[in-house]
Amino acid sequence: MLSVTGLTKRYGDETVLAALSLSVDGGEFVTLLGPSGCGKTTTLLAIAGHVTPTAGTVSIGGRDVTDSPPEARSCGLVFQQDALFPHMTARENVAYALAPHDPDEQRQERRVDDLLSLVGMADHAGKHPEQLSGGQRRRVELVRALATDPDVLLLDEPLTGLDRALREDLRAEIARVHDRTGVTTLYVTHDQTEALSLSDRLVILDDGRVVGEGTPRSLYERPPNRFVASFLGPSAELTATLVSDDPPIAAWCGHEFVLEGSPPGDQITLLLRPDDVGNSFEGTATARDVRVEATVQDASHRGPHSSVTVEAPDGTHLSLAVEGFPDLHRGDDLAVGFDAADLFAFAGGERCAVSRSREAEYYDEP
Amino acid sequence: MTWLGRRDHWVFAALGAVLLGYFLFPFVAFLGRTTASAPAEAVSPTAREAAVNSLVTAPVATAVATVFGVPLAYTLARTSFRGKRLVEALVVLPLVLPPVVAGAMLLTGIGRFTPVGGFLAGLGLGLTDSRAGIVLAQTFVAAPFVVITARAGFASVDRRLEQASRSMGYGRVATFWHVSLPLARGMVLAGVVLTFARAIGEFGATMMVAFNPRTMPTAIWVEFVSGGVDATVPLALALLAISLLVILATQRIGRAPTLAGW
Repeated sequence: MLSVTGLTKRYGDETVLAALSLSVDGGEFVTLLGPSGCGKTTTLLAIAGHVTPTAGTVSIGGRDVTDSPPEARSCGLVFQQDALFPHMTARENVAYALAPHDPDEQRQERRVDDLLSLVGMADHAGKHPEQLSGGQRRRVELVRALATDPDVLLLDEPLTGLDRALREDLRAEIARVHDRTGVTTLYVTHDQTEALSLSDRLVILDDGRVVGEGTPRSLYERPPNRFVASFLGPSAELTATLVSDDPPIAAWCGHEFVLEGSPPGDQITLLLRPDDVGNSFEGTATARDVRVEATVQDASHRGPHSSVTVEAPDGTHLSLAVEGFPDLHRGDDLAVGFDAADLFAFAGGERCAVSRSREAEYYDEP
Repeated sequence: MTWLGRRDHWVFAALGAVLLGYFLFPFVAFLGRTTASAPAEAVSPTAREAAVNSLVTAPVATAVATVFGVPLAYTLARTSFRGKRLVEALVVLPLVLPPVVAGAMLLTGIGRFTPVGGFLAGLGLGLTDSRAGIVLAQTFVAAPFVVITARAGFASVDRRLEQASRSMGYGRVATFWHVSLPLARGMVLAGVVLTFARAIGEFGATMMVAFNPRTMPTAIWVEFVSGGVDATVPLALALLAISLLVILATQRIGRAPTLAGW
């Protein structure tokens, strides 16, 4: 439905987008995820026709629209912050979007009503944007973008600037509206939680380039590179040393990990997600491939579980989740354990697989 | 309001009052010269003719400045191009020039003995010493006000609102009419009012290009030369009253303060 090929945007010497390609199938919900300044918004504006790319093509519904003006592209646009017309009521905002597409006033009126009810805004139709709350304005903006029945719905960080409860409400609302309308959607955000919970597929952007693409699950569980791994969720970094080339073996805290392939360089970074770390306090550290004695640095309570940080013998800090309010304090001994299969090993930013671990045959005391 | 307490507002009021007092003082002094016969003299045939000339030319000049100036303002607010600084300087230039110099320059361009002026005079459309000449002089001097003010108005309209409108299927012009212009309305109107005020009061350039037929300012000058300050009082009062009325009316229609935008 939407396909972007080799999209490049340069401002003078600065390259904002470097030959970016992505595609969204009909009805699919794809999220463009990346840190701020990575080119997400520029990509969206180029798709909508508000930014002229230096090179590359944009096609919507099988039609090349690279040289078409925005009004000929059938894109619904929802912006980062309020972009309702302040001189029109909620109803007029939606009707304005509808007008060029349906001259029949009665049908238009019914459709505006339907759209406003879709997001529970029918009772506020006569209000001007400044009389609406932040969440209400986003809801109106969402259906205003849908009013034209666009080929593609483009959302640019629509939840920015709202408080947490409202963000979660609206996130559910967006998912529901997408289910109901089946509109092809490209959603831009820097928020991993939003991206992971909403999308059929993620495209991860860094520095104007696509660095990862796939379903939320596949990217989370098998990140293709270190950037994707650390961007999608918090993780501890274990710095391992290559102790043998053939087979490649990385050593960390008296444990050795057999790697596949031939990693470039002898510095290996092993990433470990907090939810993959067991601990002796709950009895979840035993029966793991790797077990190290560590010391509690910090325990902070976060609702259903606590986040505990420990220091491994080599000084590495590891975070792990412990149920409830554990009686753990700074300086307590706590053994932690994890499985080699849960590690992501990266050499020079690229991923290499860890096949198994083994006890070190010799072990220098740290 | 970090370093200024609530009760310190008087500082602003007091400083502002000094200027207001300076504005008001000449008015009071001038009104003191008014004699009982002044209103009658203001409706003398010469004075009436001057008033008609002013009331015909200033609105036309304002309309011309608006029709061409607002699109220029929008372009300057929304696009960047090579030489934009030069264009911006050109827009401000008529403000900086002494009006008499502007008038002299206009004469060298469109005077009776220039190719353009001569050709049009041959067709019966004299660009000097005619109402057309007055309009040209007023437009030249007054148009920058609407361009500069409207430009600031358009620049303050959130670009994303225009992008949203375009993506809904509206072209550039339709978006301008439905979104940009209504949102910049206050500032555009402020520019129009300033332009009108400048046009109806314009003297220097008008005098050079079209000493006849007389507008109110040129008529006032003639009265002053022949009869001193007292002779100017009737016409000056009439000009003052007309200008005030027009400005108040425009403010009412637009429901917008002339300088603040919204």
